[in-house]
Amino acid sequence: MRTALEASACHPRVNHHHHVSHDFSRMAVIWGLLSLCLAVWLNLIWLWPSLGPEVAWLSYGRLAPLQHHLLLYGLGGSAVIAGGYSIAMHSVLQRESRTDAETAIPDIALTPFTLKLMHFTFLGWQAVVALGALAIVAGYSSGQYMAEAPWLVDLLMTLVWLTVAWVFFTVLEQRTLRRLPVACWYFIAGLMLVLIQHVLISLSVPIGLLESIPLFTGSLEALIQRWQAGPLPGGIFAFGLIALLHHMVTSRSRLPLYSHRLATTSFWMLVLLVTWGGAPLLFASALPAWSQTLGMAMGILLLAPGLALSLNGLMTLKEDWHSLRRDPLICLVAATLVSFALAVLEYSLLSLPTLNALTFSAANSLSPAASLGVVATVAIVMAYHLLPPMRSLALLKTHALLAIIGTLLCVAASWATTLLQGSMWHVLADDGRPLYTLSEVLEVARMPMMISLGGLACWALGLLLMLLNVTRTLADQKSERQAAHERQRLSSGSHKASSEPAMHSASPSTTPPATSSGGHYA
Amino acid sequence: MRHVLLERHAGLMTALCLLTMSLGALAQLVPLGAHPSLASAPEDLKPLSALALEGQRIYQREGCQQCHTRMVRDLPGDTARHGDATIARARYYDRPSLWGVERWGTDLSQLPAQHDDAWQRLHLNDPRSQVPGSAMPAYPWLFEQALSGEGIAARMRALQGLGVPYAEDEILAAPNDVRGTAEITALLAYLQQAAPASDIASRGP
Repeated sequence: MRTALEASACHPRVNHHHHVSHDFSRMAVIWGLLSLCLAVWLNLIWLWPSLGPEVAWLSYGRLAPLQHHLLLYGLGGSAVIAGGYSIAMHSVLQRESRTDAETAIPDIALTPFTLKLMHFTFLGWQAVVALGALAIVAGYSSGQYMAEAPWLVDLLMTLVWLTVAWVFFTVLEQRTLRRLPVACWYFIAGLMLVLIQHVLISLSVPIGLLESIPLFTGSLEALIQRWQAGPLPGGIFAFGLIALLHHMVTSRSRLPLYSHRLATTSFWMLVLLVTWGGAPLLFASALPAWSQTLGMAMGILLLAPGLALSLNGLMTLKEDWHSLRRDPLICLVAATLVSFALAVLEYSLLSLPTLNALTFSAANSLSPAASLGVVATVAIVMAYHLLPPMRSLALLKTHALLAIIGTLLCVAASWATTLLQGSMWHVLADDGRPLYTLSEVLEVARMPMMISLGGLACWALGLLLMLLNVTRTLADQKSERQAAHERQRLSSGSHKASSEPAMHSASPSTTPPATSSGGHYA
Repeated sequence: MRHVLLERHAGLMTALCLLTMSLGALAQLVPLGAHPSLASAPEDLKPLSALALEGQRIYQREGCQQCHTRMVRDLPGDTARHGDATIARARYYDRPSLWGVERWGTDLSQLPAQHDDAWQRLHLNDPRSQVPGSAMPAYPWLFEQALSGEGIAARMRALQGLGVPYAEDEILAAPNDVRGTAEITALLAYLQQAAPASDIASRGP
């Protein structure tokens, strides 16, 4: 007893797993900012091509996949892993600290080995994102949509992901909740989804350190590639992101989920339908017709569980509608639920042949409602939630507003482009020749692209504000902790021999900075 | 089965999730792998030559598939512009399948039929000199860099291992064949050869 107290007095209690979550969140913001700046740049050079420098590694074809990579794996992936840890830790409630329910990252005891693994997942994941990015820019893209990293990086990613699963299940082992919460189901499904899809797409024959030849060929490979984009927002991270969303809906608003039955039904339907994502993106292509038809039927079915999930979340928040005004994060969660419904609706509409034919492209599968509205928004909400309460609430509110406006602008632009171009594309003159030339069809996208430039700029600016806010908050927290440490050292130096009561009074003052993650802006 | 049972046992939940998801995956992959148009190589389909294979590498490296498709859909707007719809058998050797997902430029399957070699060189060097208002970036470095011939033999051997019928002497001669060729030539050879030859039977079974 005595020694434990002494130890805790000498080292103010800092939970190392807080650092991992904070690090993940901070890196997520940095990757997100990079990705959005790239998106703005790509939009600019599409509008004014002469702006683009004639440098190989800065050309459009290399920066576009880099932007997707940073958004999905850097921002989305980092947030999913950090959020997954938080979900698992929440199932472990400790008797002595009743504040657990209120903090984003509960203080739980982890073995040093588990902590080491957590640190490994952090470093490993950042290495996956950074090395993948370098390889894409250097021209060693695997050429597979949304999975452009070369095979060595894919291998590292598999290893890191297995470690994430290991840590998640290890923490879950210690749980005191008898029944797993809904967020846990989705995270488990998410762990499996990434494993299945990532391993399938990465199966290849290496021909050197950076290049490889995929095992599957032709239509089969095309189908597996499109699974990465997936029917649900976030592609391979879809379930991870939904897990985060559920976690935020219940733990942030401190309300029970509206309907358990709705959650169960939509969960199992989504699990069943999630691996059918390819067909609507390959409509009328060389993929055999039966496969297209079957996949598109599944795409229509997806509408029911998708909307059920979204409704379940919104009905939960409806219990305390005022929290939307109090807490900008809950407001963002509500916005995400709406975006989720929109993204699922878009996908289901794509599953109708007549509407699918309207998509001028072979389908712009990374719709802004999914990429910005769900992936990026869930990721930033999670990052804010895991970090200590922000220093400036005003900046946070501004960011929330910018994110919502940015998403709306981009969604509007994307729908306008699709409908305008799609309607022009199929119009034929009397002699069977197309009425509009390609240049005319592309020219129509100019105005929507300007609007989407505005939306992307809002997002980039918002993330910049977030980075500023986060950096200042963490610096504040650090200096606060140092001050506490100093006080501690002085007081323990003066009462060396008989200081047990003094210790008692001193130790609570050291805990708040370490445990005060994710304060509620109530 | 009562759902509470699953909610209490994470292992059971994991197993059932894995099973349910692989059901969907297998239901598509297994029949597709056995599909007549995909199960065996069409006899009249020639695999990419060494030079075209290097061209594919360049196509992939520059991310051409980010803006261009190589897939004519079976839809009026597509076939009126680009001719016959692409069939699965013509894409039997696509590894990876660079079909593209968005169209910010034209479909490239029939490009050689629409523009000759000289036009394409001018266009790749300065797109706006040929197509005013085009948003395509210029690729001057393709004209300056030459192929080294390194790695082409390994690439062909790996493909041979996966069942692409390359002859032994073809592989041995490959490095010498491509060495010193400008990258632009390889890229155009790829676009030329990857164009769906009309002699490959009509829409597959």
